[in-house]
Amino acid sequence: MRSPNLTPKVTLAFVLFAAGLLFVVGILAYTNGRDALEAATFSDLLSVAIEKEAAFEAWISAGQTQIASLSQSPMIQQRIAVLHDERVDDEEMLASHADIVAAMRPFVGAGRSFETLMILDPVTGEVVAATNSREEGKFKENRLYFLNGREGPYVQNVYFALECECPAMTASAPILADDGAIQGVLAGRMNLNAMGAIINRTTEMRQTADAYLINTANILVTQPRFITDAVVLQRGIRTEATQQCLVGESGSMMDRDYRGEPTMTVYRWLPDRDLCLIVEVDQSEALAPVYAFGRTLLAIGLVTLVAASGVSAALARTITGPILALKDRVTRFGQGEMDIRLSEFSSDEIGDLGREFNAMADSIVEKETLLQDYAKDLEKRVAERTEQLQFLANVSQELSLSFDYLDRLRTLAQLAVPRFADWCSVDVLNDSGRLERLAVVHSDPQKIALAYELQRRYPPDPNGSSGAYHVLKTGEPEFYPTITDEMLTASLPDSDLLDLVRELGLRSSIMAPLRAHGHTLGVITLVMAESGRTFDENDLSLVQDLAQRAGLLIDNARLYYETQQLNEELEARVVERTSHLTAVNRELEAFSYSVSHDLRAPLRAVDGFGQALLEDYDHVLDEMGRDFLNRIRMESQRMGQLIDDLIGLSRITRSEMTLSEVNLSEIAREVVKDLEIHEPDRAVQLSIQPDIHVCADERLMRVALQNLISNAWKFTSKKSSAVIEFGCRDGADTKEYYVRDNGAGFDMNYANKLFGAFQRLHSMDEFSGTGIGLATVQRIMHRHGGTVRAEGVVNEGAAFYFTLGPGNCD
Amino acid sequence: MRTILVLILGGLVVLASGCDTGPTGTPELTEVTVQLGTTHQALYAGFYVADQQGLFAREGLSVTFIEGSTNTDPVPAIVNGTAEFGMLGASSLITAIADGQPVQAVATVLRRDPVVFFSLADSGIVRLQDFAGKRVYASLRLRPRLHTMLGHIGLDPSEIIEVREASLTDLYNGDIDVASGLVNTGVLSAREAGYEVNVIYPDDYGVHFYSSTIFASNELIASNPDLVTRFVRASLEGWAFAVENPQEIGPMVGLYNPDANTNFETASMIASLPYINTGKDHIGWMESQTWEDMVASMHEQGEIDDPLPVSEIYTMQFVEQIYEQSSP
Repeated sequence: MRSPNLTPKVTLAFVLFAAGLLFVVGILAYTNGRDALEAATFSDLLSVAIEKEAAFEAWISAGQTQIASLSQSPMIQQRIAVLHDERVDDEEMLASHADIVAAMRPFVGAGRSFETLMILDPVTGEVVAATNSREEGKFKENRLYFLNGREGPYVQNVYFALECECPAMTASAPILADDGAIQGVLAGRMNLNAMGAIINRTTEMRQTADAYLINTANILVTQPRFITDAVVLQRGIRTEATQQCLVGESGSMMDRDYRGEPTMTVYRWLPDRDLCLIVEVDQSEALAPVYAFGRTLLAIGLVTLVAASGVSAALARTITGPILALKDRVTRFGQGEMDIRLSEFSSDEIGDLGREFNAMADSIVEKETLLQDYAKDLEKRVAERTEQLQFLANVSQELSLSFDYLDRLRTLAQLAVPRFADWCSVDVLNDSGRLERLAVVHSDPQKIALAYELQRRYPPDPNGSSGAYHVLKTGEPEFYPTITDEMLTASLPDSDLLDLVRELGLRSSIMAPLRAHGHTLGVITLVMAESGRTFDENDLSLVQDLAQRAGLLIDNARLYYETQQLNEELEARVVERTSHLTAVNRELEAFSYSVSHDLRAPLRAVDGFGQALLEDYDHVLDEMGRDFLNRIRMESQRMGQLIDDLIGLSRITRSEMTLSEVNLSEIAREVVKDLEIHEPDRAVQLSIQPDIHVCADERLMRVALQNLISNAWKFTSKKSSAVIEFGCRDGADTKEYYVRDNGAGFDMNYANKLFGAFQRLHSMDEFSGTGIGLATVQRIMHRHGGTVRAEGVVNEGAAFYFTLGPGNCD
Repeated sequence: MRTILVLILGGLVVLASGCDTGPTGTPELTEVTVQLGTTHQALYAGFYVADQQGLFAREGLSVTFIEGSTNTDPVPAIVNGTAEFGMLGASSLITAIADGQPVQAVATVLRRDPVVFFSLADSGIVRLQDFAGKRVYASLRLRPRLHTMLGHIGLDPSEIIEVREASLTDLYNGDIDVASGLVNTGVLSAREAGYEVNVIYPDDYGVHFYSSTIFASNELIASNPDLVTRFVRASLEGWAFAVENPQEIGPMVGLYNPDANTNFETASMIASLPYINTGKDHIGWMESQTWEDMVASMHEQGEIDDPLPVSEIYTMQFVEQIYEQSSP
């Protein structure tokens, strides 16, 4: 959101400043006036309270004095004596009674000090005479004015009198005889109208002034001005001032009265009366002058503020006008109006600012022009460099297309012209140690012919201090940023050659070695001529890069051809040897097979004649002869078994493999089942890991497991609690399958002999067998591209681990 | 300048108080039951104020009122534990204690006896001496007090005609010359009926009786004095409010007794003021002398067999503690 403009801001600042100033001055004036008025009002109220307190005390004192005076009246004293004298008759007694009442009556009634007067018997408290005859005959023996009045003049504070069912104050005094003996107690219920008048009397011109008394029970003792119902001794008041007062304190405060109106209150505790005097006036009246003063201040302040606002606005425009003009120019300049300038200047700082702006704008325009030129140059260089890199990329791609480096180098030369040079030639070191020109490229074929002619007529000097052979020898490039006629004249003494070269119009050249693995294999030459262009350092770097790639191409291509040649020779040898081995193998197998078959016939004859001798000539043979014959038969049968195993081994080698998914766990269970059928009494604890699936030839895997599990079965036959396990585990590179037992085991020193044909680690007496089984297993695993190995501990058991190659059963 | 400071300080105080979130929540309240001797009326104003203005709750009490009927004796409920507190006339309480009930007064609300005798204004009967030969109604319970009064002025009861049953109508019709009743009910009713009456106070004839008194069982006073203190403190504060604001009592009675005449109850409260706040001592205060006078008077009139020691009748431990704590 955009913030307000400068002019309103400056105006607002002026106005706020003026308003703040007015506010502070106004508040100070107002509060000082209010404080002064409050102090004056409290002082007035305190004066009123003191005056009322004094008048109240004077009124009580007057009542007390009157009672005391009356009690000392000789006539009353005499007549009281008559009333107590039992010797006088009723008539005299009545007369005395009438005299007493008559003596008291002038003090009783409206406008007088007392409502009623009475004389009490000093012992019983009985009213013996009273201005109100209804009181006579009653007993006041427990009243405070009676109990205290016997001792001396007394005033009982405001209380509720049952006889009148009204608030009362009663003054009392003893009536004493001449000898000091008490004859009665004179008591007078004081006229409280007078007290109310004293308290309520207004001595000033305040409409809301109020004064009242409350007793210790918070009960109103006089009628407040603004309560119309009779509430004396019938209603309580609790304000902050009354609460303060009733704990025995006097003072003043801002308070709220029984109406809830804010008041200025003065409270005075009257300790002799146990009463609280409240004098108060409404704040709205007492402080009315200061409120009026406040309103006047507010009006003046508002008028002043409006005027100040106008002046502020005008002043703000004067200050902000030039600034806004400057801001406008700056904005337009920033939006692209580069020729915008300030034309009018004041003589102050803002004028200086304008002039500085113009100078700054000029400077910016100048620098921007320079910047644009630099940017154009940069763009051009970037484009050139991009083109070079693109060229390099294209070259790299072309070089990688084949190992025919001669063809590729020619292509490289063609790519360089004319985009990167006017001329490009490539010379390669041949087997005779001379440079052989591979390619010369120029856009004009006639000039190419001229170049070849030049080379033919003026072949490069292999011992020259410069040129292609020098580059070939040093392995360092030669760079001529500018070729001058002086340079040509100095290097070419032959005038005909000089003319020819001048005809080529050479301007700049680079010769770079084609290097790979520390050897220089050739030279590439790039020349600028009729285009007028020249090479710089960047071009030199590019050509070196190009030359290095070309050198690697040559090296790689030569290596490739050498390797290819070696491979071809090797393959020819392999084919030759394989053919030879296949023939030998075939002969060997045929020999083995025929030998096995041929051997079986005489063996059967030996066994058969052995059996015939035992059956037909048993009676002529002694025990030794029979034993020899039995041995002959047994050995011939064993040899037969050996021949069978050899035939089996041979078949395994020759048979064709059919790969499929094979469940080894299932095969293992079937093998074990066969073994259990043949030896049902063996107690072997078997553990076959379920669901071991492999990709293999099922027939061969069955043969392998039959051999391994049969071995385990056989070599645990002497264990009371045999254990045989078949399972699978993760090996180093592939899965390893194992057959493990806790049988006779073997010495690990002979582990490498286990898998040889006819190798046995136990005697026939211990465990039967031909020694072909594990050789068969190894042959099967090898045919599957796998391995087999064994681990064993003598008398603790053996474990055979085999792996299978990555068969494809898809 | 002072005003500015006040404004600033006032702002700070407002901010500070705005941040202050003190502990909230209501503590568990102790259940307390009060047995009333009558139906709900202004006589129990202090209880109602304490209940309505949360004074009981402030003391941790939840108070339930059991309303009585015309002649409910609250003492059994206190003795058997149905209620913890009751209110009863002082003379009836003395009779109960004399009969062996284990209860004790803890504060007196009506510290003057509002029972009065009254005659029609034009009857010429303005003093007790005027009762001679007149038909005076006094209930069986009031008769001993009447006899005490008569004895105080030397008038033999046989010199008056005692009427045992009467109503205000009998007074209005002239069937009796003097009626008796409470100043805040009987006298008030007569005046509201338009009759001016002369009131003869027993207080003017040597009979100074306390009236409505709050009491509890001796067991509760001994076992849980804190509970008694809290209940009495809240109740007396309630009566202080009632005395200061009698005009609020009528509507408050209406909250407990929907059938109550709220104007009459307010007038009754106003009429009771001199009896609650006598201008002497504090509300609820009790004096040994008054109790002794009552016991002596009742014993003399045969209402109780033996003069009881007043220490068995009342205790000042709670009222004294309450006013001692609240005094400046």
